[in-house]
Amino acid sequence: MTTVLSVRNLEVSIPTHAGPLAAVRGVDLQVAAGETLGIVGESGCGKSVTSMAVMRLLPERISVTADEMRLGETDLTGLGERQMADLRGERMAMIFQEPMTALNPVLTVGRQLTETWLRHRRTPMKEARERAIDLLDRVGIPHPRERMDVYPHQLSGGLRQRVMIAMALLCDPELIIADEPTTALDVTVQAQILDLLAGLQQERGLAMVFISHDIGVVSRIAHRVQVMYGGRTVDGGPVDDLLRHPRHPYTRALLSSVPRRGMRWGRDTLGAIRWSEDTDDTATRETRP
Amino acid sequence: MTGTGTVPVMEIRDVRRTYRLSGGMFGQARMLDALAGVSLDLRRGEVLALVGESGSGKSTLSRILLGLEAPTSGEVFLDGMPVSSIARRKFAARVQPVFQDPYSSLNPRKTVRQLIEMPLVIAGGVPASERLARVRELLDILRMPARMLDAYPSQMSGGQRQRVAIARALISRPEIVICDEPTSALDVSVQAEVLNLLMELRAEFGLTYLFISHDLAVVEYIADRVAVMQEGRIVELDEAERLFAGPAHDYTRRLLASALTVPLAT
Repeated sequence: MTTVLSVRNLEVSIPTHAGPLAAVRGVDLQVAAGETLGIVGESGCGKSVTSMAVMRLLPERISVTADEMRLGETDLTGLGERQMADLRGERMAMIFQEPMTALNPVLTVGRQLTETWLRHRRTPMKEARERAIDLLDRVGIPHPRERMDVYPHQLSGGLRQRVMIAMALLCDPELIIADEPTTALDVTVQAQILDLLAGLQQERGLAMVFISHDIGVVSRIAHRVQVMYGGRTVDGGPVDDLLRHPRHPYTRALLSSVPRRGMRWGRDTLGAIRWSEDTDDTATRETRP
Repeated sequence: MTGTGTVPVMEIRDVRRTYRLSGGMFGQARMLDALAGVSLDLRRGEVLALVGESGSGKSTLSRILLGLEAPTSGEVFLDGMPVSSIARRKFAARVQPVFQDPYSSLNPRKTVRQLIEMPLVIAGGVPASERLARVRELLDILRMPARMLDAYPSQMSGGQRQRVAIARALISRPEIVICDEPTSALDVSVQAEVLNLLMELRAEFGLTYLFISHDLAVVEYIADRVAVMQEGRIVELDEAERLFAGPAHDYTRRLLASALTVPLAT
């Protein structure tokens, strides 16, 4: 398997009134072609900041360093802003949680898709349109040709997320980073979108990083999982392994706090991670970009 | 089991709620039946869960049960009395809400003490000293330190905020608490704590819960009975254990099949 994304010792530091906040402290990521790496953790653990750092989407005042950050053969640390912008959408793409905010509300679906394509490829408009329609079709949008002319608000949440996925796949990227892509969706739609992502990923040999707070969702789609806590990877491994033999106390606590089918109060007890009086997670939350 | 009675404390009789949708400048206005005739009994002491996907009408129903919205037709009864005949303040003291998002449901400019005592201030007749005593008592029950009294929501974590929302719901000693996705905005570890807390409080205060959720594993954990809503109707209603063991309605089966929970270890 070829390694698509390789990150070593990623550190992200956010300046705050109370001094620098280490949001990510030495995280490593390795994702091969055809592989899905899940990143799980609770609010403020640094999972989203990690993905934004890889895509270089964090504001400039935030300091990002890494011993290594490579996409295939390309050393990302040596690239300028322009070169990164050329890569984004072309070789690495991101799928966000809320397609309503990630899509432009005043542009038609077709316009947004063709613009993305033409940003990276010099082709006639006709070819861009055909490519966009083809992708809408592949992500399971009925009547793709007609859907080119609609605005995002005219689509349901599930269809909007399919448009986002079509846009991410448009230029055949090597790497997809999906940050809570199904969190805003109903459960039946969530199941469809996960199946779609897993299918496309296999079919195209994509490397995927799948970020979620929901270990149930991650266990369905990821091959390997990293558990993040306090900006660090505290546990990780193949999904089945991690679920059966969580090594780190935090992973065990996290797993015991997730309600599972068949659990009943009075007979079973959800293990709450002890909430301490002095815990104040507002600092970490409010520094999320 | 949980020793729930079969006496209805709240009865919902054929409640309909229709919204008028604008059809644009020249278009015909369309009507949307958010609730297309719902009848349901809430039994004293039970946890009745209402599940369904977005747009199924569960939040509209909760708003009607809280008296925040009137049904287009049909009637809601509290202890046999039509809710429309009960004075607003009297009703509010007996039926209280806990909403989904503790970031928007708490006034950011009020302190914890002001937030929690508000229902008593509105109801009137309780002197300030007793209000404070009851706020302190609740903070203690909810395992929050007394120094939190003067804190503002912005200084608190999500779990702490939801505790404040729960304390506010309980201070008027209501019989019924309507929880609309009370843990959906919280991390799982905090959700576990809030769920356990809600269940302990039920025993302590003799509460009846209507618990709205899209999370079937959460519902299975706490509910005595489950009502499944789809397109403004209740399509299935059963004891939780029976419903999860063998759902009768096709839509319930689909919901259960889509739920992604962690497989049990071992």
